[in-house]
Formats: sequence, structure tokens, C-alpha cells
Amino acid sequence: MSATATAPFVSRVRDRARGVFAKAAGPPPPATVRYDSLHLVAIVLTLTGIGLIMVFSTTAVADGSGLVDGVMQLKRQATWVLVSVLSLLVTARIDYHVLGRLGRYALAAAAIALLLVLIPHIGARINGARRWFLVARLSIQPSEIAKVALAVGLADLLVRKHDILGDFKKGYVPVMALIGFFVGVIAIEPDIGTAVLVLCVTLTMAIVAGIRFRHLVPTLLLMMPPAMLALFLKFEHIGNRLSGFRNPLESYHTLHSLVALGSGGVFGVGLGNGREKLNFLPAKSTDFIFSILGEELGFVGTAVVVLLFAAFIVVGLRIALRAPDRLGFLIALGLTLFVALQAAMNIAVVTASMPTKGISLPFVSMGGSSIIALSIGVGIVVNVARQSETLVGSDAAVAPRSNSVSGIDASLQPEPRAL
Amino acid sequence: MSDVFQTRERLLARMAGAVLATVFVLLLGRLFQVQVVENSFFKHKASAFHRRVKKEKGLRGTIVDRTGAPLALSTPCRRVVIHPGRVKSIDVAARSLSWACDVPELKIRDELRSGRPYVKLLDRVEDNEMIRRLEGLRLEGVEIEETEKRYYPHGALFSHILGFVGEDNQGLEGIEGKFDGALEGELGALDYEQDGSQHRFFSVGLPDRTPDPGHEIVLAVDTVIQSFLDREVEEAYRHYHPDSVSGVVLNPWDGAVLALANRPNFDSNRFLDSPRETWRNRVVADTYAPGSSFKPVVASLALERGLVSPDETIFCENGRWSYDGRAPLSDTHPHGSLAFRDVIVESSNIGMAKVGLRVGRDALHEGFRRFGFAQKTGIDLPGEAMGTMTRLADWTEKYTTVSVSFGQEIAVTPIQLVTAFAAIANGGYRVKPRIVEKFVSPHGEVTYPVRVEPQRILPLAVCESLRSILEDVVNRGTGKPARIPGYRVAGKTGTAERFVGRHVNGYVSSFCGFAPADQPAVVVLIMLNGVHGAEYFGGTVAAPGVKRVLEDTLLYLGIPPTEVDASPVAWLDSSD
Repeated sequence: MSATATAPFVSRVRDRARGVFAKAAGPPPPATVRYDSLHLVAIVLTLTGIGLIMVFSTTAVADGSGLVDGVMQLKRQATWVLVSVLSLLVTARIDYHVLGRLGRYALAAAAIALLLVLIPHIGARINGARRWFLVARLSIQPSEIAKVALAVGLADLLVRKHDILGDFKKGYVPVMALIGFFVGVIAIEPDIGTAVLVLCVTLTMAIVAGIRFRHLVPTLLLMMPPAMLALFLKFEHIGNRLSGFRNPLESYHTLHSLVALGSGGVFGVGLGNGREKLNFLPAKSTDFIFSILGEELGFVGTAVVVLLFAAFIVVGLRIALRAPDRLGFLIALGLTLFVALQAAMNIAVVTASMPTKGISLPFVSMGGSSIIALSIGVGIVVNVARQSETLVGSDAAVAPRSNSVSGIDASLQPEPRAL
Repeated sequence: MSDVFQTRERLLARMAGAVLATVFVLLLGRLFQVQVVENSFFKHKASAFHRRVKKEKGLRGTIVDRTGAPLALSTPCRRVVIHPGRVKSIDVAARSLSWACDVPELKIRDELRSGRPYVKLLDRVEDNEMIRRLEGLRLEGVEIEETEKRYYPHGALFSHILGFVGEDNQGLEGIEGKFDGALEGELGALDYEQDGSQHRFFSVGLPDRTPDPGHEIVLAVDTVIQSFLDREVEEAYRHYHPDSVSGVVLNPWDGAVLALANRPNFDSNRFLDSPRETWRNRVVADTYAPGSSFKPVVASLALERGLVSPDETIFCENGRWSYDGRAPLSDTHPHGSLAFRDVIVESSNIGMAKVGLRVGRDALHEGFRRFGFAQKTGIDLPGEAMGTMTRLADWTEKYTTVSVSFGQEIAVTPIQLVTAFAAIANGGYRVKPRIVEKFVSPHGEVTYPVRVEPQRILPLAVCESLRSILEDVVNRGTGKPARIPGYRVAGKTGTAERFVGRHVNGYVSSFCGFAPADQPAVVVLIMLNGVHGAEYFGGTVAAPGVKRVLEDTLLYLGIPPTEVDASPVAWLDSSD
């Protein structure tokens, strides 16, 4: 407690001194440069690397057809990873304010894509759900792209409406309409898992940005009963999944997921030695890849992954809190929450702590559109981090770039040391 | 104002982060619970899914002929079994099994409701596509077991030698039954892992090898000679419509059975399609009154004791002779005086009875036993009959001695008769007939069946004079139809009345011959049991078949003609 109490004082003294020395000694010492963006990228690359290894481990086994090229899926996924890293590097260099202004177009595009995917012959139906476009043997899931678009676009909207968010008609309703539309179209696919994820993250963003609980609570209370009813009436499989959740050992998916995790023990059966991937566990390289990871690398392996995602929250949140302005803050917060909550939901599903949903584990699960969308998101967060780093670590701090770019009150600039 | 908002926003963001962090801590706890605390529970569950211990049996051994050609072999196949108690939904199981196995849905429903704990739905399935469909179903309570299918490539040709196997591949008759233990594959437990489609993956634990197959049995039988004999047995059966026909080809030097055939017969692959009666190997299991083909045995005993010489004249009573008040004997062709040689050549019962009386009952009884009559030959086939001979106590000179002299009042199996001829052919040695040449273990070790040293039962000189008499039978006597130009063939015809009660019901007609007479390569017997037609003499119904078997076999064995006047031209002429 005493440390936090003295911190503002110490930093104030140090900043004053730095100001004096800065004039005398030129550039400030490198110790003041923050590495948030590097940490974030390091975490993401570690997770991606683990993902590549697990994709190889789960797809290199024969499927009984005798026609499997052991490294085919690895090569595919490695290609996606390469594209992802490139998109991360590119988006990290695009000013997020530019993206913020483009946010509404991104939202419009995502909305159109999500509507198109519902139309038969355009959207592909896989396992009873229309979630994918099939283009040249690639399956593209528009909801993945929608998540990034929504984080940026909603942040932009919330910033623009910031002063009138308390106003029910002009502030609250447009924000909620946007959220409701996206949650709704994703739920119709049906992709309830993603819908819940989007709902949680966007509501959190809206609440953080300042919508009023006195508006929100009645809305939720009103919406809850019809939403539940629609879910249970329309989607039989939800009932099945809920019953599977109540008796995890009765449902094939959860049973084998738990068997995989549980037989791993502390250190696992060894990388590549997993048995559940041998045609037992479905979606072994996508939604349930974490189970195989737990089987092969044990609790040590799963704990490392969980801790990496926890670290992702910490670093992402720190970037958000240190963002140069509210737009950066909300974008970074939203994207961080998207990644972290999705990871939490996936792990909850595979440990039978939550009903099964088709949700992949960010950066680890096999799949192209997911990892590219996520990397673009991370790239945007990195850009937010770099702008605050630039602010602190160089002379640019004297004239913050964001002042000239955004129309947001300069007083909102965070004071790094006060965080 | 804005500072207040700023603090509030930061606070809410931190709270969101804190909530998520808590979720991660809880998930970590859950992972700890599943992976560390409940590890042994899930390990157990996992092994129930992944491990299989399966009793497995090596394939049954192959049976091959003397040249290595397979006569009986096994191939692996599958069996689809249902444990109705473990089936979750009868509807689903019946519908999908019907689809996968092409079995009527109703039949499957009945089986499922039958209350039996174990139902064999399909046995000996060789359709891999069907197995793949079944595996794809992953039906609880339906299992695919490894089994094997026995094939007899020649079908009925070797059926009486080989026998057949039952439903669980246990040997039931013939060599299959006799050497079931040697043929049976090794029984082992296979501990292995399977994948989700129930395919075997990699073994853990002990035996990572499949159990050994059974021993290979190499038979003395030769497929080519067997086909010669089978052809003639079939021919006799079709042509003369007897109740049954038996045939044997024996190597007189070592007792190897080169061929053995019976009619009626059956297909080893589908033995259930033929009546049980056809399964019997009559060569070893049935006994017959041999008739005149028995005369050489009696003659050898007389010659051995010097009681008669081949050229001694014997009065044959002009075809009708009543001995000591016994019902009169008659000869088919009446003769006055005949040399002893011609008594056999012309097959005079009266002449033979007179010679038999010279030998007397004790010497005959002892002599017959020396030849091996009324005992098992010890041939390695199941169900061998001993044959019957009148007990010494009941043996009367008036009836028994007279009757046995021309092959009545004694019952012998065809294999006994052919063994007796083999002794005459090989210069006086009694051999033990045998089917099996050797056993070869899966690792290539060869074991031979216990060999019985041939026993001398007759002096060489007796055999030599008998062989010249039997040669005369073929050259100028009742056995003329067995003559092969260029070869010296010896043999004896036999035509015995078959009594049912006091009435004659058909004849047992036979011919047993060997060639070349001075150095016999094979002894051939063909015996027709229950000939009813106008033609029933052994020389007519059996000798031509023996001739053709001998002719083909000698050619096949590469034995050159021995007689000087056998020019190739004469050879060709005779075959027209």
C-alpha cells in the first residue's frame, strides 16, 4: 500500500528531473521505453507456435483411408500463420484512428457478409449450421471477421456518441441496435457460442464506455425470456448439448474430451503420443485441440496455455489503459476481451464446464479465417501500444500525435505512471 | 468531468479484466481437477476405449500333397457377432446392421429379441467393404471377430482323405480330424490398442506377434495320380451303378498311399450338402468279402510251406465238387486238371479249395494274421475297421477252410487287401500304409510320423513265383482287360457274392494289380460293392479301370516299358 501511495510522488519528481536532464542530455534513457507491444506479440507467437505443433500432432495421424499426407494440414496451417504474421505486421503500421474512421464501413461489410452467409447456396451448411463461405476449397467464417470489425466499429461509435451515451434515444438505442443486430444474425446461423461471446464483449465495451445501467438492466430483463424461448424452441441441438453438459460422461464429445484431458495427468502422455486423436475425439484439431494438448502435454501444458492467455489479458488491458485516447482504449479493450473470452469459453467447453459450442481456441486451433482475423486484431492493438510507447519513449511526447489526429479531449491522455 | 469518466472507465475495464482473470483461475482449477485429481479415473476410462485384449488363434495349418500343391488351406476372415444385451436401441441397430450387412431387418430384430447373450450374425465374412461399413457404424454391442475360412481347392477330389472342419474350424474327419492338434493354430492373447474405428494400432505389453499358424502337413498323396484314380472310380460308379466304389493306389515299397478315392463322395467345402453316408471313407472303414482276389494270399501260404508247386497238376472236378457233404462248389468255367498256376489264372474255386485244405486251418489262420487281416493296418486315417475272420475255435475245415480259400467267410477292408498285394509285389514285406509324409512346423522344423520297419512275412522265392502267376492272370487269364502293351502287369480279379441273409444280393467285384511285375512301382485296387447288372466279373468291371490308372501312373512316374517287343508303333496301335 505504501508503495502505491508514494508512486505518484516519486514519479512526479522523476519526471521533473527527466525534463531537466532531457534538455541537457538529449534523448531520454531507454529504460522508459515500454515493451507492451513486444510482449503481446511474443505471447501471440508462442500460442501460434504451440498451435502449429498441435495441429501437426493431431493431423499427422492416419484416418484409416490410407490416403493421408501427414504434413498436408501442417503446410496449410503454416501458410495461414505466415499470412497472419504479415497481416499483423501490416495492421500494426496502420494508425488505428484511420481504422476507427473506417470502422463503420467495416461494420457494414461484416453485416452484409453475415446476412449473405445465411442464404442457401452462398453460405455452406456444415453440421446443420450456415457459418461458412466456401471459396476455392477454403472455408471462410464471416463471424470471425465481424468480431474485429465490431471491436473497431463499436469503439468508434462509442467515442463519437460519448457525450450523449446517457441519452436513451440518441446514445443508448443506436449502440444497442448495433449490438443487437450482430448478435442476432450470428445467433440465427446458428452459432450461439459466438453470439454469446459477441454479446458479452460488446456489452462490456458499451458499459465501460458509459451506457447507463438504468437503461441496460430493463432491456436485458425484457429480452431474456423471449431469447431463451427462441433458443429452446428453434434449436433442438441446444437442448441436446445442455443435457450433454449436465451428464458429461453421456455425451460423446465431452466424454472423449475429458478422457483426453484426464488421461494426460501432470506431464501428459508425451507429444505425439495422444490416443484420443485416433478417430475418437471429434474436431480434434479445431475446437477440441486443447484436449489433445492436455492429453499429450499434461496439466503442465494446459497450465502454460492458460497462463499465456492470462498474460494476454494483462498485457492487452495494460495497453488499453495506457492508450493515447479513448478510441485506442476501447479498441484495445474490445479486442483483448474477444481473444481472452473466446479462449476462456473454449477451455470451459472442453473441460465440460460449459455446454458445447463451436468455438475455437484463439491462435491454437486449426483454421485460416480465425487466425488471420485474430492477427489483424492483435495488429491493431499493437498499433495502439506503439502510439503510447512513442508518446512516452521519445520526444514525440511533447506533441502527442493523437491530439492532431483525433478529436478527443486532450485531457483524456493517460498519465502512464498513474495507471 | 472527463477525469471522473476516465477513472470510471478504467475501473470498469479493470473489473472486466479481473472477472476474466478469475475465470482463468477457475479454469485452471478445473483443469487441475480433471487432469491431476481425477487422472486415474480418466486413465481407466481411456484404457477402456483404447485397449483391447483379444484371444487370437493362428491360422490352421495347410495340407499339401507330396509335390507341395495345397489341398486344404485357411484364409483369415471375420465374423460379425452381436451381444444383444449391450445394444442400446434395437431400432437403430436393426436398421443400420441391415444396411451394412445386407441381412433382412426383421431377422436382426428377431435375433436381438431372442434373449440369447451372443448371436453370430454373419460368419466367415470376406467382404472388406462390409466390414468397413460396420466399423463406421460404431454400434455398441456389435463386434467383429477374427476367424478363418478353410478352403479345399480340389473340392471333392480328396474329400475322404482330408475330411473337413466344423463350424469352429475343428477338424472332424480324415486328416483334418486325425491331426487336428497338429493343424490347429497357436492360441494366444493379443493385447493391443485400437483407434476410434476399432482398427488395431500398436501393441502394448507382451506378445507383439500374432500366434503361430498350425503345422503344415505334407501328404504322400499325389494330386495327379489321385485324379487318375478318381476318374476311374467315377467311371466305374457311373457305368455299373454299384452301391459304392473304392480305389487305392499304394507304393508297395514304403506303404505310401498315393491315391485314395470312394464313391459316393462329397465336397469338403460343402460337406453338409451331402448325406452323412457319403462321408465314410470306405477304403478303411468298410469290410467286404474279397472273393477271388484273396486267392493269392492263400496260394502264398501253400507255396511257402512247399505244399504245392506252381506247375503241380490239380484236378478241378470238371467244375462241380462236393466236399465232405458240404453243398457242392462250382466253377464259372469248368476244368478238368489244371496246373496250380492255372488254378489261379482261371480262378478255379475247387482247385483253390483243395490247396487250402492242404494248408489247414491253423496255418491259414496264422498266415492271415501275418498278412495283417483282422487287425488294423495302422493307416493314419480315422475310423479304420479291423475286418473279421472266423475265430480258431469256430473254424472248421469243412466250411471255413474251404470258403476262405476263395475269399468268402472273411471280411477285409480294401486297404488290408491292397497291403497284402503290396507284400507280394515288394518281395515279401508287410508295410504299414500311410497318408502323411511329414509335418512341417511354422518355423520350418520337419518331423516325420513314426515309421514301422517293413516286416518280412514271405520268402522272396514265393513272391517271385506268385508274381509270375499273377502276371499270367493278366496275360492269359481272367485279368486280360488289365493288360498294358509293353508293360508287365500282374494282378488278380475278384468276384464275390454278397450275401444278405441266405440270398445273394449283388457282387463285390474287384481287381488288384501292380506293374511292372518284376519291380512294381504301384499297387492299384479298385473294388465295386453291390454290382447288380449283367456284367459283374471283377475282370470286366474293375480291371479296365485299374489298367488305365496303372498306364497313366507309369507314364506319369516315367517308368519305361520293359518288354522288348513294345515298339512305339505297337503302343500307338493299342491305344486306338
